[in-house]
Amino acid sequence: MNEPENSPALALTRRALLGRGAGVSLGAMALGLLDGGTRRSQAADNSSSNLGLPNFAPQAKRIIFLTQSGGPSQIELYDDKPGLKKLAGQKLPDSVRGGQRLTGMTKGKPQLIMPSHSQFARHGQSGATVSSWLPHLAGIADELCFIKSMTTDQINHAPAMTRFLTGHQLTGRPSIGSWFSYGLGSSNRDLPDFLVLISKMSRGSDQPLYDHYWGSGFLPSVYQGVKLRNAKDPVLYLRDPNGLPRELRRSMLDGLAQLNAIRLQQTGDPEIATRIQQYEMAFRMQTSIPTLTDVSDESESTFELYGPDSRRPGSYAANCILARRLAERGVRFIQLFHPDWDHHSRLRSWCTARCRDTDQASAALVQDLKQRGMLDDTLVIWGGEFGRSVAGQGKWDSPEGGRDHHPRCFTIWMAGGGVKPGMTYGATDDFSYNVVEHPVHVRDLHATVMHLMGIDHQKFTYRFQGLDFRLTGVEDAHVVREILA
Amino acid sequence: MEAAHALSDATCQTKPVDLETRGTFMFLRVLLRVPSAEELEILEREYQRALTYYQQHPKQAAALAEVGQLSPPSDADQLPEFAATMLLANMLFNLDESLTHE
Repeated sequence: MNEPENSPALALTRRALLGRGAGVSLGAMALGLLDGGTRRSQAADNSSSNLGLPNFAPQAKRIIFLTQSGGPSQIELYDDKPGLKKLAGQKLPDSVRGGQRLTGMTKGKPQLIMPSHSQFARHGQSGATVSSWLPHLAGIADELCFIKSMTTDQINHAPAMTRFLTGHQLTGRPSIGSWFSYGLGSSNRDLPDFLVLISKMSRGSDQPLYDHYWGSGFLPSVYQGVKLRNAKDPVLYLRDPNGLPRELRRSMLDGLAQLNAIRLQQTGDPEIATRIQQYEMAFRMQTSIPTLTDVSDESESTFELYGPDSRRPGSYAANCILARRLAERGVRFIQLFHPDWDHHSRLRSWCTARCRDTDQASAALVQDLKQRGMLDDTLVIWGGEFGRSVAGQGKWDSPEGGRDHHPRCFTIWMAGGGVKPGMTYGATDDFSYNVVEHPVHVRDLHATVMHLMGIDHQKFTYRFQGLDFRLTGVEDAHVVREILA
Repeated sequence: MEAAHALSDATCQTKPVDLETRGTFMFLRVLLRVPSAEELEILEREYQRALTYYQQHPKQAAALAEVGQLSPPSDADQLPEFAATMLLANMLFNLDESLTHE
């Protein structure tokens, strides 16, 4: 299923040819074309309505993914290791490091233990440990489910983020939001199923946010995330030109769709179907986007809840308000990116700055959703691609000290959407270096998130280049049942 | 729209006698091929609809012809035809076949 190769014409288009066999061999391409005739065409109908999803009743209807790019330090933010103070400046035992590969930045340098720069306290009835740098999140600790035993296998940003968001470290797979867009669609026809909001920063980040983080990979591109601009006008050129009234625009788009449909029939190229749908979406967005982004109907108390930054278009806080507005409109997958969590130095000033950007608004979003009765069926996820090492980078005993990347353990939290509130799951060793209890690999997180959305990750596949792909890949992935409400 | 303005200019200058001539000229310019009968039918329908509208709303036709930096036709009588042709051009430029090299 799912492949366009048996289109009415099976014209040997570039797209069809590359989709079948790029990177394999000419022989494989030829084989792919030969067996193509036996499969059903999906070209004209790349809607997902025939997938039979969800597999079972979902807990969450939509997701807001607060992606913290760069690798937030679990040691400063969530994973309290008071015992490290006594070991400050000592060499990390080889038995703990266990041969862990390091990046080129700290390879060959002494691995000296740097205790947390922040203070910790227990919060709420659940007694979750949250950093003094995140006072607002600490205040809603009883709403959150912390997973302190997250683990990945990538140590550099792009592969780790690609792994975190597409299930594989190499590019080319659909992002998690695209899987949901393909599998579940959205109840709102006037906005894309999958929207991306990136914080506007005062300085550029060292880590680019690649388009493939929200790309559709081998899925038709109609399922890719649509990125809004982080400015007052999130979409440019929404107005029709002077002298072109709406009804004439409508009629012209009908003609355009008919001409494109003729071409689609001739070539069977699903990307033409995408284009037809995107023109229609753009037409509807001409009216849906202005009402989405005009926040003048928000009360003063909303801006106070999300903090002063929320009045600045493009800020993380303003994006959190937009995320809630998108959730209200039934958008399936809303993904925020906040860059610049890559604190190799000056942890104390740098990491606290990113905490200030995000702490109040993240907490406000959870509270706001709860007040509006939407938290039960909205899953909020906060997390980045990996954690940071217990060893100091630079001078461990100076405010200039930072930490290098660390894939073996990191902390994320989730809230709402069928996840147990006020829970801490999993644990790391005394060094926050290795997971010692309930490891949750990225693919386990993916399986769990799919489960919450009513999808069995093992059954949800897409055939491409002769393989049935799934988000969680071929290795064992498990739904983390202990955290389900 | 600016490119559509230019193509409308080029098209109207040939003084096409009928829609088939007009559509074929534009198809050749944009796609290097002649349109099929089915395609011509769609062009004809959209052109007639736009032309009727702009004949009834000459101010709108003038406004559309002002878009961009190129000058609008000097003869006001030509404006409805010019604006309707601009719309056809805009439609052709947005075809998948125009935007994608197969």
